[in-house]
Amino acid sequence: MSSPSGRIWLFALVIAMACGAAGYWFTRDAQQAKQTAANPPKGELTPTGPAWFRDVTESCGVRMICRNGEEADQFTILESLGGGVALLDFDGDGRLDIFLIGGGYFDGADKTTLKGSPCKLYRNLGGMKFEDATASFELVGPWWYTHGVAVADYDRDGFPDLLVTGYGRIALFHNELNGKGGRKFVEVGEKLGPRDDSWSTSAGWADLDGDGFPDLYVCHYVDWSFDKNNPVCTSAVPGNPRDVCPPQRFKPLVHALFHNDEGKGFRNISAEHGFKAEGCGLGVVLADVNNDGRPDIYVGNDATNNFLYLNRNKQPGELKLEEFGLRAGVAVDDTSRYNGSMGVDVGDYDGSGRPAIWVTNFQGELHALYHNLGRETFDHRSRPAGVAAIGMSRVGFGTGFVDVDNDGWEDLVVANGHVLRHPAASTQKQRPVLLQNVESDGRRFFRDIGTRGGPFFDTAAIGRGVAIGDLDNDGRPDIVINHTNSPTVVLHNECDSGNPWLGIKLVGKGNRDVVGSTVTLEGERRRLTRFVKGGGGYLSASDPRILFGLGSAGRVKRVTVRWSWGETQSWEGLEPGASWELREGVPAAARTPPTP
Amino acid sequence: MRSRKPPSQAAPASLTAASPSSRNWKRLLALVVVLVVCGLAWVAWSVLRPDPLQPAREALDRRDFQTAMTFLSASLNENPDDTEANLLAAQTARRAGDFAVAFERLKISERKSGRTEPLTQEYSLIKVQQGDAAEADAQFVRHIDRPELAETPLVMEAYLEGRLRVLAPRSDSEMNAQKAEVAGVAKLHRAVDLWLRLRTGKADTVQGLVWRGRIQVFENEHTKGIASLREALELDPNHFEARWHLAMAVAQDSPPEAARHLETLLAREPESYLIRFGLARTYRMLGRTQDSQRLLTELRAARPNDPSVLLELANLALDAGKVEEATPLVTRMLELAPDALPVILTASRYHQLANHPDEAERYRKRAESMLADQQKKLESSPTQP
Repeated sequence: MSSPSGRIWLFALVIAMACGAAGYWFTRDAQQAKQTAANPPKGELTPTGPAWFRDVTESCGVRMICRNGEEADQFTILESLGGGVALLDFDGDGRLDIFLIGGGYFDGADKTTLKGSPCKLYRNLGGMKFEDATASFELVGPWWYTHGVAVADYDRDGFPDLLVTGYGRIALFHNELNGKGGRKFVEVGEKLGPRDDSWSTSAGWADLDGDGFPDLYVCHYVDWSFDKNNPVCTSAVPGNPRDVCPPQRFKPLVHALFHNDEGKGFRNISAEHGFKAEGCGLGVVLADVNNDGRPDIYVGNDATNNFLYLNRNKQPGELKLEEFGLRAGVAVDDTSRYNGSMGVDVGDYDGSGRPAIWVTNFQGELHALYHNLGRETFDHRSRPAGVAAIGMSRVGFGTGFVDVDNDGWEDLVVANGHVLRHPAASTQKQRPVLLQNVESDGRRFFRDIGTRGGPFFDTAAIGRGVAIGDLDNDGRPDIVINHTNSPTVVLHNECDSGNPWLGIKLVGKGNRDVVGSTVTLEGERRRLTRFVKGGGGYLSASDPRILFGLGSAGRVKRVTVRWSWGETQSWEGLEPGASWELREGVPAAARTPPTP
Repeated sequence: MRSRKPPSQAAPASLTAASPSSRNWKRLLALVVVLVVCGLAWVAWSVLRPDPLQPAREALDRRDFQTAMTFLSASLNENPDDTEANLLAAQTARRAGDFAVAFERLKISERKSGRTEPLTQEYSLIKVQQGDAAEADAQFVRHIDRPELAETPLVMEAYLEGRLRVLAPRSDSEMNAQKAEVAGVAKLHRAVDLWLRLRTGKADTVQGLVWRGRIQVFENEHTKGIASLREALELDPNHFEARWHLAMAVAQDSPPEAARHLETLLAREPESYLIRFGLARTYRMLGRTQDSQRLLTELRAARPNDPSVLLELANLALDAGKVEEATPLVTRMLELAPDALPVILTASRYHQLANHPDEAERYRKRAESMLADQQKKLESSPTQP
């Protein structure tokens, strides 16, 4: 090596090694950079910018607190459920009004007499102003201990009616003329039913048998009562002798399914369909989940398997349901364990055109995103979809898919709050969660963007019912959240994404119920699918209209509706930035006059 | 005249010519002086000479058991009969959790000097630290109100380590408040309080806070537990145990933070299977599938037949809808661990996605039955040891 040629070889070897090392480092860095780019955004990433939601509760005039009576220190499981919200246009003025559940309290010398706190109805005056219309619409009670609300036009008169659930009874309020040129709600339960003296929670409407009239599914919870079954439970946290009992200390109740006899009466047909006391029901959504054109029923149960009733009717007029939850993969989580399920929703989060099922669950469990694989099969995808990154310390209740930024991808909102007063490894009041649906590595990924949601998403409360809808018809979905023992919050969507939008209101023939219909928007570059749902969320009812955020979809080429129990119909030439009324069997779409 | 000297020039007899007894006195005096000097030197040496065990003790003050054992081994190589060194080595090995070495050292000491009281105590502490509840309670009762005893801190340490080993073997172990009395959580708190009062050095304080945090997490006081673990980590950001337990404690609330802690630990111990596997699972939880895949692929290369790794890889493939990629993984893990519940569950998921509904149903029913059995066992088992 001491010879000149040896030195040259040595030099060449050193150069080659240096080049090799440099090449390795370069490609390694490039590889790492590629991996970083391909991987989903890390959990710490906190997008900055103006808040997307502004809490307008104070200025809009909504003043409501849903009570649970915990001040009586009864520690009953009744206190844990809370109340819901409904968004409905009860007076047909084109603006969404708000109905709020009041809850209840414990009265009497020994504080064991259940009493209802008043529910409230707020009329939308436009410009994000509301007035208390409870008395003028004759919704004055007497109230019982209430929980949930469901909305449908049960008699097909063109106006939405209200069903209110709670402990010991439900009530159906018919929306009718008041004889003074206005409208009022009249309770018709005594006359028509549905009668239900059980403990009812969420409820949802859909025309399950194809007769055009919406039938009613009512979730029942557990067999708690002061008289017969009121166990005393101790807290898991030292220093707290007592707390609310878990649902496992009780037996589940049989849920109710009411057949709507053409708006003239209701019959509980749960026994005919073999319903059993196997689920502590808390959430229900009705939509076509298997793409057969008929509404199905998905039920979120607390501490028991969730149900999926597939609608197996072959023709209108009959009703055949098949419980398919376990076989479809939506009854339990990815460890084959049942969850404490509360809120439920369906939505096409990944642009597949198929509805995924979304379920909010108890502390220590993942909220479940059941990815729809087609052929009536789902897969639990909470981890790869990024949902698990929010952790498991919260107890999720009200929820829903909502395209907050109108980019055409459905985001998620969850109201949280524990059922226990002294939860281990958590707190009773919890922050809500806003999950943005973003693209990552060629797949859809949910990223926690609470920081972008505004101060509300940084405030802990006992969140329960959530309803989503465009309160000021500006094409951006707003949110109303009912809390337990603290004020209801109205969030105005002020996201300045600039993305175009298109609103759709479906009207079935003769005002027949359209839950279970599927709406597909074909843009130049994207195809968006939305589902008409009954129930959904938790104890609540959201805007029945469909709001398409168009994002980068481009020009709207066509909107196609597959009517439940009906034909498929398409409309072209719908301009974005407006709402359109699509009537079954009517070829022309009607532009809805703007009503801010 | 010449023969006569003047009397003034004549020295006195006693001075000019020492008598034999006078010489002896001088010698004796000199000897005494020498002895005193030697004695003083010996005393000074005894007091001031470097203690061969001192470096080990200093390492123990830092709770650096490995370094302490290195010094102790060196010392024992030079002086195998050093009883004190043997006992300290046994104690150090025990404190580090190396019970075999601790026993070995105690046996050596016992052969040389019989079963002394310190040896008996050390034998007892091994039992305590290994989780012997009766022995632990006896030691606790004897020492909890005797802070003045030199051995008390070490008893508290062994008690805490031993009880936590049994009560909270996993970082996510939790108890129910109803079981608190049985579990003796109050005693654990007393032990850790005493420890923190007696051992005020930084390393011991940090260790005390880690124990306190673990106890609080175990008794469902998560917020307090996490605060204690954070305090420990603030005092010593390099404390492995504090960071590990903090990662586990926050995993449920904040998987991104858990991942950060595990990443820090992995940077320190890149070969740790436990950390790499934990991080891979956390990444999957966060939806960071590629990061998870990378770690699991490395782990699989090192442990091709580890069912846990195969299971995670199979689930990652299924998460991505890659059924074909999952097929060999599922087949292999079913060969390796056919009766493990997570394997059965993943097999069910695999068949569901592979459009084999009957097979999926078979595995699902088996999983259901296993879960039911687990539940029955849980309900019939005593609350706590």
